[in-house]
Formats: sequence, C-alpha cells, structure tokens
Amino acid sequence: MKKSFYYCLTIILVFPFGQVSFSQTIITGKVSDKAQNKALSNAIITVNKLNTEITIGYGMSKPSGQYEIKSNANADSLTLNIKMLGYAAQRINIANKNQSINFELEESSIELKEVKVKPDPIKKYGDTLSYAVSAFKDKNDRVIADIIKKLPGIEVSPNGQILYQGEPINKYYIEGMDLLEGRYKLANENLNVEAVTDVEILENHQPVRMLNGVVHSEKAALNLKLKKNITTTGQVSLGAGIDPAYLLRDVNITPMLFTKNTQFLATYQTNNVGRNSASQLVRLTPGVYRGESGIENKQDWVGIQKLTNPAFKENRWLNNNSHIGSINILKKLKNNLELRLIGDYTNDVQLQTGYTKTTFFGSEADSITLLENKRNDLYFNNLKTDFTLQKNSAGKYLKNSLQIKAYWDSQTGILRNTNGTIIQQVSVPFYTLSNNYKDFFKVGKSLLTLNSSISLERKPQQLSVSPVPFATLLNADKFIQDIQQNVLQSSFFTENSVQYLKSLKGFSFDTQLGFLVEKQALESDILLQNLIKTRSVESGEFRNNLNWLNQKYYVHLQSRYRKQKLNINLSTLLNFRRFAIEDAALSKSENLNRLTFEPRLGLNYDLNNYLTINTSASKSNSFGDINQMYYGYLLTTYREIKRMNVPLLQTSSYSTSAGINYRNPVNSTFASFTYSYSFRENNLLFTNIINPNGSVERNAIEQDNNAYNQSLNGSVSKYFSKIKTTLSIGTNVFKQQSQQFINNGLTEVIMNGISPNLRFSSSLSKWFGLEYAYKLSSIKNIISEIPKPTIIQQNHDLKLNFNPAEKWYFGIITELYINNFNATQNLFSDIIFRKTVGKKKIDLEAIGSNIFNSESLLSVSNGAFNYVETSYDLRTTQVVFKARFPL
Amino acid sequence: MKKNIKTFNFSLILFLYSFITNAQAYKATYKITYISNLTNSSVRTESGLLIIKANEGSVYATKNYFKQDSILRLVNAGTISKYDVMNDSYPRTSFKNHIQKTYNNQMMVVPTQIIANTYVYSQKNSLNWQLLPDTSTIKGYKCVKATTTFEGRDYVAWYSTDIPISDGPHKFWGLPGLIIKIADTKNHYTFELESFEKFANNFPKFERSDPTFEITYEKFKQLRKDENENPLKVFQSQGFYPVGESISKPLNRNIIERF
Repeated sequence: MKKSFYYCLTIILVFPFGQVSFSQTIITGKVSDKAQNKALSNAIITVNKLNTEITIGYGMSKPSGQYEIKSNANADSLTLNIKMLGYAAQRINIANKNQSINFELEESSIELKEVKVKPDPIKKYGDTLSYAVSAFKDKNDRVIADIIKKLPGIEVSPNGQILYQGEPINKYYIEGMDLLEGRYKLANENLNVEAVTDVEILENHQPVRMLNGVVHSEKAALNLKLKKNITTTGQVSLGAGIDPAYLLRDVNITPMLFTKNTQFLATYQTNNVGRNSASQLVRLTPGVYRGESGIENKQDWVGIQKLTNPAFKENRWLNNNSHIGSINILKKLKNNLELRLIGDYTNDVQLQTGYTKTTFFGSEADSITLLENKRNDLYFNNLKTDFTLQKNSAGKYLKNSLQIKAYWDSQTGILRNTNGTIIQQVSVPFYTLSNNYKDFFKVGKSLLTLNSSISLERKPQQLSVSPVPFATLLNADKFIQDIQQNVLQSSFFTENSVQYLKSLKGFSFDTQLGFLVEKQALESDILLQNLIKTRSVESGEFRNNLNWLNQKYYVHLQSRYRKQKLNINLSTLLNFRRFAIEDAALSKSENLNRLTFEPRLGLNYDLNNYLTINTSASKSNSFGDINQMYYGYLLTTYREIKRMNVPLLQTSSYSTSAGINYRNPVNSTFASFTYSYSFRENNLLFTNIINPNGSVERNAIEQDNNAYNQSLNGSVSKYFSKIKTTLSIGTNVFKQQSQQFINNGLTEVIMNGISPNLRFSSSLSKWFGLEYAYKLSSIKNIISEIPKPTIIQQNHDLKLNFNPAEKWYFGIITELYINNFNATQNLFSDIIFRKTVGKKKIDLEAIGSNIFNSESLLSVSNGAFNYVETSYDLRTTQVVFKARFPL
Repeated sequence: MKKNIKTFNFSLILFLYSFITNAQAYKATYKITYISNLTNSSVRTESGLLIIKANEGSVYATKNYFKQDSILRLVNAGTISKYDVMNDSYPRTSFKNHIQKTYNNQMMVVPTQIIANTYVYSQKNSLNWQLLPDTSTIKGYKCVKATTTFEGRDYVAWYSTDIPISDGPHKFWGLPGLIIKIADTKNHYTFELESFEKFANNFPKFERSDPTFEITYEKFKQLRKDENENPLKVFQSQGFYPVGESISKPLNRNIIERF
C-alpha cells in the first residue's frame, strides 16, 4: 500500500516534468568484430551527457549484435561510449536524435585494473588464530622459521622451541598431520616459506580428537597451511669455505613432499662450520611417555670434566664435524589409519678447548681455587627409529609406537692443572627398546582408554682416568697408572592403566586405575691398572650390586567443569608406592611403602574476548631415582667421587600460580603475566666435602630441609602493521632459597635473579630492515647471609638487512657480549652477501663469520657451592660460499 | 519427476562445460555485512565470490558455500568421513544458494537449499536500474550511483564502467559496469568489493549429492517465505516427521528476500 503510494507520487511529480522538458531519443545499431565480421554480444554501450561521465542511458548488445538505447536529455549532442572485454573501447559524440550507429570493435588485450586485498595479518576464528604469511614476509625470509619468530604472541627460544603466550606448543602440524612428532625444527628450518600461506595457532588444542570438547587443554598447537594440495618443497644447499686451519663444508639436502594422503621429509646434512644440525632431530614438544619427555636428556653415569658451553650463539663456538640423516614418512591408510616411520642417524665429533677457574665457597675456607686447562673430544653416534600406527578421528583414537634407540657415545679429555696432565676416557653407550600403546573405546556415551607402555634399557658405561685421583681413598700405590670405573645399568619398565571418562552436561569425570613397575639393576666396580696387571679395588664400598624395584599403584580421579567462559579442573591422585632396594654384597637395603595424596586444582576464566585469567594450586610427591641412591662409591668424573649411602630421597612439593593472558588479534597485541610460588620439603641434604686439591666427595645426609622458589614472568608484544614491525618486551624475576651442606656446615643459599629482554624486528622499507634483541641477566647469590658478587651479563644482537637492488642482499650481524666481571667486551660480526638468480630463486651466498676474530669468551656461572669462570675458545674468522636451491 | 532431475543435472554439466573453454576469467570478492536477526541486531560478515567468464556468464556464492562444496566433494569421494565434518570448524553460511548467470539470455539459474532439500529455479534479470549523476571513488575505481528495487528491498548501487562487466554480487547485475558496492537503504545487507583479480584456476563446479528439484520462481518465493515463518511445515512437506513434541517457531530471520 505504502509502496504504491510512493509510486503514484513519483509518477505525479516526475512524469509531467519529464514530459515537458525532455523528449526521448532512441539509438539503435549493431556491434560486430572488425576482423572476423561476426556479431558481438554483451558489449556495453552508454549514452552520456556530452563529454561527461554522467550516464543517461545504456544497453547491451544481444547475440545478434543489435542494441537499442533510450535516453531523455534536452541537449543538442551526446557522447556514446562502447566497451567490451577483450576489445578496444570507442567513444564518439553524436547529435541528440533518433539514429542508427554501428560499431566495429577491434580486439585488444586491455588489462583491467586489479585490486588485491591485503589479507588481515591476523585473523581469529573460534580457537584458531591465523597469521597470514604474506603480511609478515620480507625478501630475506627463506624458511618458515624466519616468519614464525616474527609473529606477535609467538617466541622462539634459542634451542628452537616455539612458545605461544610463553607456553611451549604441544603439536606442530603440517596441513593437520603430525609428521615429525615434535622434532619440528626439521620442518621449521627447511620448509620453504613460499609454500606456506598461513601459520595457524590452535588455542586449547586437544590432540586426541575424540576428547575434543570433553577434555580441556590449555596448550596451543601450531599448524602450517600450504598453498597447494600437492607440494614438493624443501631445500638443497651446498657450501664450502676455509678458516685458518681447515677446509670447511656445509651441506644440507632436504626434500619434502606433502599431499592429502602422504607426507614425506628426508634430510642429509653435514658440516664443520659450527651449525648444530643434530638439534633438528630433538623432540621439542612435551612427551607423554617415559623417555619421551620433552627435550631429550640422556643421563650418563660418568663423564669427562666438561667445559660448559657458552650461553651464546652456537655457531660462534661449536667446533664440530657432523653428519645427520633422517627419514620421515606418514601415510594415510583406509579408515583414517595413519602409518608413520621415522629414522634418525647422527654422527658428530665436537672439540672443546679452553680453561675454567672454579672457586669453591666453603663455610671454613673460602678460597679453594682450581684452574683447569681442557681439551675435550666428544663423539656422538646414535640411531633412533620410531614406527607408529595411529588413528585419530572423532570416533576413534588408537596409537601404537615402537621405538628403538641406540647411542654409541664416547668422550676423551686431556686436562692440565697445577699438578700435571690428566687423561680421561669415557664410553657412554645407551640402548633402549620401548613400545607405547593407547586405545580409546566408546562405551555408550562414555570413553574407555587402555594405556600400556613397556621399555627395556641398558647402559654399559666406563670412565678411565690417568693418573689416579683419590689415590689415598682408593688405597692405590704409586705404581698404579690408571683407574677404570665400570658401570652397568639395566632397566625394565612398564606402566599400564585403564581410564574411564564420562561427561555429563558441563561436567566430565575421568577415572584412571593403573600400575607401574620399574626394575633396575646397577653393577659397578673400580679397576686399578698398570702395564703389568689389573686389579679391582678390594674394598666393598667401591662396588655396587644394587637391585632396585619400584612399584606404583594408583587411582587418579580428574573432574572437570566447563561452562562457557569458566573451566575448572580438579585432579586427585592417590598413589601407593613400594620400593625394595637392596645391595646384598654391602648388606644394605631399604624397603619403603608410602601412600601419597596428590591433588591439583586449576581454574581458567575468560573475562572477555581478550582477557583470560588462570590460577592453579597443587601438591605432589616425588621419590629418588637410582642415580640418587646407591651404597658404593662411583667415580663420576676425575675429581668427583660420589655415593648416596642414605635413605631414599623423598620430596613433597607445593606450588601455586596465577596468570593473566591478553590477546587482541584485531590490533595485534599480545601480553601474558604469570606468577608462581613453590615450596619443597626434602628429607635429604646433599653434602660436598671439598678436598684442598679441588676434588669433591659427594654424599648425602638425612636432614629435613626446605626450599622456596618464586618467579614472575611477563611479556608484551605488538605488531604494527603499517610499519611491518613487531616489538616485544619481557622479563623474568626469580628468587630461590634453599639449604646446602658444605664442608660440614649447614648453609642458607639464596639466589636472586632478574632477566629483562627486548626484541624488535622491522621491515622499514623495501630496501632496509632490522632485527634487534637485547637480553640482560643479573644473578646474585647470598650464602649464609654473605652476599656474593652480582653477575651481570648482557647480550646485544643486531641484524641489519639491506636490499640495495632487486635480488641483492647484504646483511650485517653484530653481537655484543658484556659482563661485569672482566673489563673486556666481546664483539662479533658476520657479513653476508647474497645474490638471487634465476626464476627458481637460487641463492648464492658468501658469509664471513667472526670478522674481528674474537678468540675466546669468558663467562661465569654460579653454582650453589661454587663460582665457575669459563674461558671458551671460539671459532676463528671463516669464510664460506654457499649455493642454496629451494625445491 | 525422477527423469526430470536427471535431465537437469545433465544440463547443469553442459552449462559448466561451456565455461571451461579458454577465455578470460576474473574473480571479484565481496565483503557481505548483514544483520541476520533484527531482534538482537547481530551483525555478521561473510565473503562472497563472483567468478566471471568474460562475455559469457558468472557463478556467485559465498566463500563458505564454496568451502562446503569442497568438503562435500571429499566426503563423496570417501577421503574424509561425515564424522570429521560435523564439528565447529565446518564452514557455515546464511546464503545457501549459488547463482549462475548467463549474459546472452539474461537468465539466472539458482540452486537453493531450503530446510532439507535442494531446489533449483530460473529467474530472468528483471532489475530496473535508475541511473543517477552522483559519483564516488571506491577501492580506487571511479563509481557512479544507481538505484533499484528488488525482492522487497530498495537498493543503492555504485558501479564502475572501468570494468565493462555487467555483473555484481548475489542477484544484482545489468548495469553498464561491475557493481563495486551495493546496499539496501536500511543497511541490512551491504556488499562491497574487496578484491578484483584475474582468475586462472578451473571454473568452479558444484557438487551436491542430494537430488535437486526443479521449481518455478513463484514456488521458490512461497517456500522461502514458509521456511522463515513456519520451518516445521516445510520440513513436514519434504516428507520428514520429527518424533516427539515439536512446536514450530517462526525463525523470523531478517533474510535478504522480503516477499
């Protein structure tokens, strides 16, 4: 009704007016192709007011080429325009009267003006944050790691671990598939950045799809979205160079293939330029099973006196000769089954040279100082395989992995101190075979899980030292030339559990029943040798023949409540543990039965879309391991002899934490703050008897003691999209308080530390970009109320990138290392020239490293009862030429 | 009826085939901002993709509709299971249709999902555009204003003769240049060009596993109206009888068509 009223009004108002002022002009005609003389349809003809853009009539040509345009204008002349895709436009002026005009169009390739949207640098869909690679990419980025380290909210720690909002990611996927099982540096440092469109962060990622929405996860995962469905990528780089002593090589061949059903990554890398390629084979995500725990840490019984590696860029000091090879294949089978095969091989020789000055704090004498000059050769040789069958769909989860690892590592050390030269030789092999099985069943609306893991380990290890240390203790006469410590540890481990998960509206209840058996045996003896004969140290206290049995039976109830923005987790764990430890030869034994209750309460709350708060409180109990309890002496290094002739270590820990997270993908701002406090009760104190020559006898005594730990972590990062700059600042403040027993005195040790840092990366213009990072670390120890000197170390790290012309790159990397205990500042500079040639973007590089030839680096570390100054010989000036072919 | 469906599918294939000849193709992306429900005036956004085959015709659908279609293709091929699809990450769209325009005969073919079935209808380009002298520059294109009334709403469009393609998002076309922006006068539905690029990929083919029922435009109007006012009635008319007590509530969404 209303509409028709307006309609009438329009007619009344406009029609008579039009009738009076204008007359209608009809223009007709035909449009055809000039060359082929055929009719053209869909040409657009407009009638404009003379020489203006004001259109008063228009029409399109029909399949016959005919067109007809009606227009009303009180003008003498009109402008006629004709446009058609693929043909040149025409424009003519005509008289304003009925007429017929034919057009003959000429073919012409006219490029239409295109507009491309710049993708939003960061998008958020539900729990997924998506970073557009193109928004963060500049000309000098080659592999995806170059992008990831620039993303706001994401940090990459020096070992390559990726942190989101300060927490390590739990999975690294490529197109949703887990090819690498946490060894993600392999992809991160070799996957061509051109192959990736988006880096996605999956917040609250639950790796088991069946548990999605049932079991809440606080961890985030990372996923790479590739440009194409079938991607072959990777890189090949060949490098050669010289330093004053050696011919250098740096070779990396890494092909990759990603399709919907198959993923493949293989690598062979060899170098002696200081690149630790073996770090690419290290698992960086937290593990679930024994031996799978996060960053790999192989514990050896014996070792040479090492030179602590500087907390500094590896390629400055690593004197290596390494080969690594790895094959990773993932294949999707029918029924969502995935089969994955991983094989890694490492062969590496590392040389460490330098000296250490160790000052032992004692309550009596403060001034035992030991100067040692070291030359160590470390041989790493290992093979690891992993064979996994997995099914991970919304309806079923099954995972079985069989892992075999073998290490044939050894070490040689030549050490000079004031008493002469000491030769140390170590052989530290380690063999393990393990199988882990996990299976989920749906029982009605509930879930039943079976977990079973089993492993076998063997460590036949050996240390020989010449001349003999601790000669009086060992009752060795002067004719004995060397001493050999033999250790054999063999272990059997199994853990099995059944888990029942039921959810009810916002609640879910997870009950787990399980048991663990750990059976270990430790055999050791010490041999004294000269050219003529070998005898073992007779006294029984230098032998171990230990049988260790640890059993655990547990009930674990986890209840979760989730309602929109609130997430509450309550975990109650009841453990019954049995330890049976016996060394029959030494007639020592301990049997311990303990029932422990270990609860944890966690709470997560989304204040709004941007702010999340979380808090937790927990209590846990832990017990000593076999390397913290044995009755006979073990020579662990040339100047440390240890025994743990004490009851089993028992620790109760109480900890609380609170944190707040802010993430705003709209203006690309991320912040997180976490405070944590923990308190530990131990039944044992480890003691150190420091002999005047610096050798240490470690022991332990029964003495209840406490330790406190407080820390505050904060970081803020922001991406400024207009100037393509990411800025982040952060700090860590901590205080640790514990008791130590040094030379028969109980001592209170307090350690205070603060380490602020700043990071800035920017692509300011097309030809210039810079990255800058600053880190300060300040540590102060207070030992029995006597403050020790504060150690302040500062790192400045500046990288300047120049692109003077298309395909030319020039970079200067400068690092400045300053500490407060010696006046020298260490300055390092590298320069890189790169020319990119050809369509395939082959990089030709010349890299000059350490051009100021800084020869050694002095650093300091502060132990609980010592203060160690280390001077580490660095790599000298070197030049390497490299060709890099992206695949 | 059954036979009818088959013939239609066949003609659909032919229609698509004609596109896979070698000619220039373009892709225009529109940002759609709309108020889906007037009671809580929640503003939603989606992306609309218009794929144009020069001088021949075009296909238009929302990005999520295209995604749904790719997923459906994987499900039909058995690559992924239906289970995997039914989660939060499944792309959702408020525009459950795609629009195939043919320039020569000025016809649109519109397969549309209504409740549980997919229907298809043909619609003639009947838009009567009023050209106005106002000009503006949007996304770097010189634009001219035009107005029209369509399916119950009054629209203001800005088109550019710089792109001589007489097309636009949704069912809007027929101006002497590409529509760069169009919104109804109440600003309930706005389509604005985000990008315009050459399109080098294969022309999209749609795959819907369920049978498609051919209907008239008049019938479509009736179904669409019923769907919004009494969805249960439509559901039952499609041969589904929900078990248990079911009360039919009008959806009363602010759909783009106001029949």
